[in-house]
Amino acid sequence: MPGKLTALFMISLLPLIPLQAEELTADQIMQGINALLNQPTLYSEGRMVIQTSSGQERQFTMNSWSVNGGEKTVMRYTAPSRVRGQSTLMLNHADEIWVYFPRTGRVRKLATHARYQKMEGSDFTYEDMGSGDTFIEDFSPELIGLDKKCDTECYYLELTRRPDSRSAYSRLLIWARVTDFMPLLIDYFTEDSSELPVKRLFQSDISMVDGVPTAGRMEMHNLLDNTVTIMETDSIRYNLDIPEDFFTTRNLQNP
Amino acid sequence: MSQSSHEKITTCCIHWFLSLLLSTAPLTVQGGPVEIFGYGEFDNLLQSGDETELLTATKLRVDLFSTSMEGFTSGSNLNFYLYGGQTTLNPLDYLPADLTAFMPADTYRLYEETYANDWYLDNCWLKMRYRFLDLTIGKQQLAFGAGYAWNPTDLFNRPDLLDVTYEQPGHQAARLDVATDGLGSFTLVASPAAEMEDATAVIQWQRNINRFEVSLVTAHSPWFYTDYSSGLPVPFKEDRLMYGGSMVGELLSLGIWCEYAFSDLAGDQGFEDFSELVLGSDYTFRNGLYLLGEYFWNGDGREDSDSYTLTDWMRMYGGETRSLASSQLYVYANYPTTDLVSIGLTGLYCLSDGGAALVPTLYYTPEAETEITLMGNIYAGENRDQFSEEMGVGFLLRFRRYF
Repeated sequence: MPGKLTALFMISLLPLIPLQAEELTADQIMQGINALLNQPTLYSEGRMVIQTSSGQERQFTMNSWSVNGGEKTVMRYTAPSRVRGQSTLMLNHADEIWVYFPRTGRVRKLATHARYQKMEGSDFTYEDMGSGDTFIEDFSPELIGLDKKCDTECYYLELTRRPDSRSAYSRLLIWARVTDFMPLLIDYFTEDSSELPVKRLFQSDISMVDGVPTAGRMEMHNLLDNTVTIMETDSIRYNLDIPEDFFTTRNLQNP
Repeated sequence: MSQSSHEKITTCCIHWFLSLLLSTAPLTVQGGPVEIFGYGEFDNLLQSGDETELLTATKLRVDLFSTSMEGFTSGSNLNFYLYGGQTTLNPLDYLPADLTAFMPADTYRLYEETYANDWYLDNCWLKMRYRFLDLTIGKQQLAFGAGYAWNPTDLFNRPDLLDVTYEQPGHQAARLDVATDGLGSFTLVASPAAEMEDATAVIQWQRNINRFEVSLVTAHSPWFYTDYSSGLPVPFKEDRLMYGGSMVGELLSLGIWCEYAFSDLAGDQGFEDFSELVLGSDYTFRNGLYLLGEYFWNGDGREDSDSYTLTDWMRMYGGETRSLASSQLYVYANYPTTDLVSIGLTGLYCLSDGGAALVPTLYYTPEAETEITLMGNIYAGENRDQFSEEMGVGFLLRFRRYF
């Protein structure tokens, strides 16, 4: 709860932050980033485009719902036909994952290790998509300083995995806008690749939606496989009334 | 056109019309869309044993789906099949010869199965949702249990062990799901039959408890036993009460599940009650390698290959029992070699008789709506084993295109 209160406090201070940028601690900045990325409730419609290593493009469209700052998430594919109706329920920040397969009518529980799996062959894993509070819970932040990215003044942070964390990433580097904490670039490192990032996330097309700075485009570059996955948001809404029982395996089977 | 063909076409047309009606009814009310989708599938199965046989199957599945009225959804699908190649098969050809040696040739030929071109309404359902209630009526998919290859608590489906994730047919039923809270639900299923006493009724309670999902299930259904010892099928039927449950969760970073069912037979015909148990575990490594193992114990199966009878074999083929042997292992490994190709290997090992089968697979998605599957099957058991090498070596090429 103190973390949530701090996050709310940080959001309320957004307009003042540029004047006090140097004075914020790494923890305070991370609380701000976390609060920005994990809004209380969210509904979005978007597209995921996978650019394969052979240069082909795969497009998926999906809807997603989340509550409690990303603690519970439902994602449902609407196209292509091959995966149409396939739905994923993530609880406890992707610690519990359930997948519904409409062709067989079965819901299968995936164990925690499945969070490392790629979603439909994309460069996003279940961990990337569902573990909303991972920056706070799984990593210790250090503010390296201020840096410019995309001609924008950014906080430059290094996050190191906590010893008890199960995150797939050993280290992250984040560049987040000073004005509103929006991360523009995140580099992901693993134990096997501690110096060169294995993945790189770009966020762009940032606009205000319901008063919340929102990235309309996310590009995840897999630097090992030389593939790219682009997530584009067609529609997004915050602060909706989504009932808790929406996030159940029973509802997962409702097309 | 024969009378039966005419009746079938008429029935199909009626079902199809009903399906259209169900799917488009909301359209006339609110102007919402009806989605049409599905796939075409081309299977080529080459099986090499005493003789080499090629069976080709072309399938077209057309789905209609509508959500345009608040609280109501409806769906249906029609399946069309065209067969070619060796379309007449006799399961007796794959059994140990000494089990069928006593049969006169005429009787032997009675078991021949012909794959004839066919089309039917596979699913046609209407779902109504009101707060904590979901009511689904019509022909629908029904799936129970936590197991992957075997589901003892599932009285409706008998998936092919060589291809366990292939879609299962729909069943006529009314299904009511009642949410007790955000963590649990009750499910009631009633599936009619020609005679009331043959109807199936299922009650399931399900709840999330500390990252485990636990379910308890009880069902009433007929249990069938067909005796082939005389060479001709002699059917028996008993009332069955099934009690069971399943649990799925995580232990020491491994995904784990178990499923148990006890079938309490009425005993009028002298058949014994039996139990079935599934224990399974899986793990995904960070490089994407996925491993799954499942153990199945079937109290309705036999302890060793010497005790397998013609009746046992035919009951397994007919889906009356889930396995010939009492004790089996299923192992599955899958590895995504590239973003478009994954390779897999399924191993089936019969602990009761020592026989085994291997099913290597290659799965390729050349583009978003196309799947190509290559699947082999290699049997390595001795002559009388469940996975006897007498069954030969098979190869399946499946091309599926969605629309």
